[in-house]
Amino acid sequence: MLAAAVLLLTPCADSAAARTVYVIANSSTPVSELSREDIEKIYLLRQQFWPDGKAVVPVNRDAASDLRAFFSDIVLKQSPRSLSTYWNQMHFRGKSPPVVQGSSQSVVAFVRNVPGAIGYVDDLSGLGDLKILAELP
Amino acid sequence: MDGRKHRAVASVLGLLACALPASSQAQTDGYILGQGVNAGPFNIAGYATIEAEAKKGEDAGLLIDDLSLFVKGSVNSMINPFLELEIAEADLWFEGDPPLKDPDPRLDIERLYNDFIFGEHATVRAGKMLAPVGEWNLIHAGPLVWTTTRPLTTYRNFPEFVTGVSFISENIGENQLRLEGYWQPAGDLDPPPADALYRFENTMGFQAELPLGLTDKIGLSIQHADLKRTQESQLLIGLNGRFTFDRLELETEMSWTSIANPLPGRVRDSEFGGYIQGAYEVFTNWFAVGRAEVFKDRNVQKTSRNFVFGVNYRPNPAIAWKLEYVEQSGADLGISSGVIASFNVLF
Repeated sequence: MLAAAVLLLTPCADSAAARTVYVIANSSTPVSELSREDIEKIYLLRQQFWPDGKAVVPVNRDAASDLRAFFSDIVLKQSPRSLSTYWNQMHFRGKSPPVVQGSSQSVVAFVRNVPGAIGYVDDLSGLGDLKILAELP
Repeated sequence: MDGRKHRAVASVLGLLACALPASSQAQTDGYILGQGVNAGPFNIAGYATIEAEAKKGEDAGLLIDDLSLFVKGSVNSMINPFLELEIAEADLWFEGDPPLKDPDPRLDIERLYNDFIFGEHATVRAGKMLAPVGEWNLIHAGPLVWTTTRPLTTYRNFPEFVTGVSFISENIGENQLRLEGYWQPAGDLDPPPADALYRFENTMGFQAELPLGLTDKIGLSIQHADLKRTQESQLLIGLNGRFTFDRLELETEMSWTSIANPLPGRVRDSEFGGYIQGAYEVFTNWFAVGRAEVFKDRNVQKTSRNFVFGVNYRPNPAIAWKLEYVEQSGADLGISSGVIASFNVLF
């Protein structure tokens, strides 16, 4: 438990370092690009549908992920803790928070298999037919 | 309050600390604490609040205040059911009695509705739902609020639930405005207990919420309801707000209720309640919490005043440990002075 607490208190070493995050989506998604603001709306559950009426299924990384910290900070412009609190509130009000996946590989697999899914990675390898909707920042 | 009661609270808290997973490591393999379990188009989640209390003039005790399970389905735009079942106020132990002497829990259907979603901005909800009055009534789960003691303003003088239909329009415009209008044409699904303070009918209302940030907002609630078995009707107007300044979060709700045709026994034909609450992150995961509330009840001349001072330890957003002292004065409307502690978890 002490180790976990220390881990929580330790800032992510590379979260502030320059890096690129790629927002990816299922190949059937009816858009070819998204702005940062569009992505923010999706992850804050303020946009629930794609233009063709299919449900948007946002995918997040696990809480311990550096990439999630980076995405939260640079793309959503919120702290991971504030976002978790917000998603918990929305969950209680009946809205589904983003699905959590524990690795980039599982994000890619989920987005490939689920129509309407959108996620993010920092590595373009293995994307296959997935769409890249944004490259941020 | 005597030392024996303080020791009783300390003892049960100690037991809870040993028995329950207070770890900051919320994630286990394949499961994220607070996000429930997904099964196809359904998500099954819930929350629990275990409370230890030592109130002035009452026996110290330990109880399950809430054990709630909710199931949400997202099948398509027309099939989005939501069910919340709750076991409430199950006494585990009270001073002078053996454990589990008389648990006497109450099983409630808190919510049972379906959402019919008509695009991005329009949803029709039908069934039993939480009445959109203020914010606390809509987000009342123990892990999501700062105190174990619930302010009178957030439940005492209006129906907390509506069985009927509501029209919700959200994410309107750049400001993401949310509007909801609702109507209860007939009786309650799973009505409140017979000894409830008031029974309502013909409830209808409206709420507007304007987000000011991620969780910050201001809200306006208007609700009309008739009281059953009397000629009384009431109109409530409420305001609520949440404002975050770095480590400080301020929250307020207030409501004014006008009562038409009041019974002769009422001491006034209106009611007012309001509170202001602050939570400050003193150290990482540790929060100091304070609240002041006044409530002028329709039946009691004296104003009820209650003050809450406490701490929260929140090792992650799905877990909250709370310890608070309540000082109550004036009219006794169900909040007692004393020490209350609780463990709260979303699962």
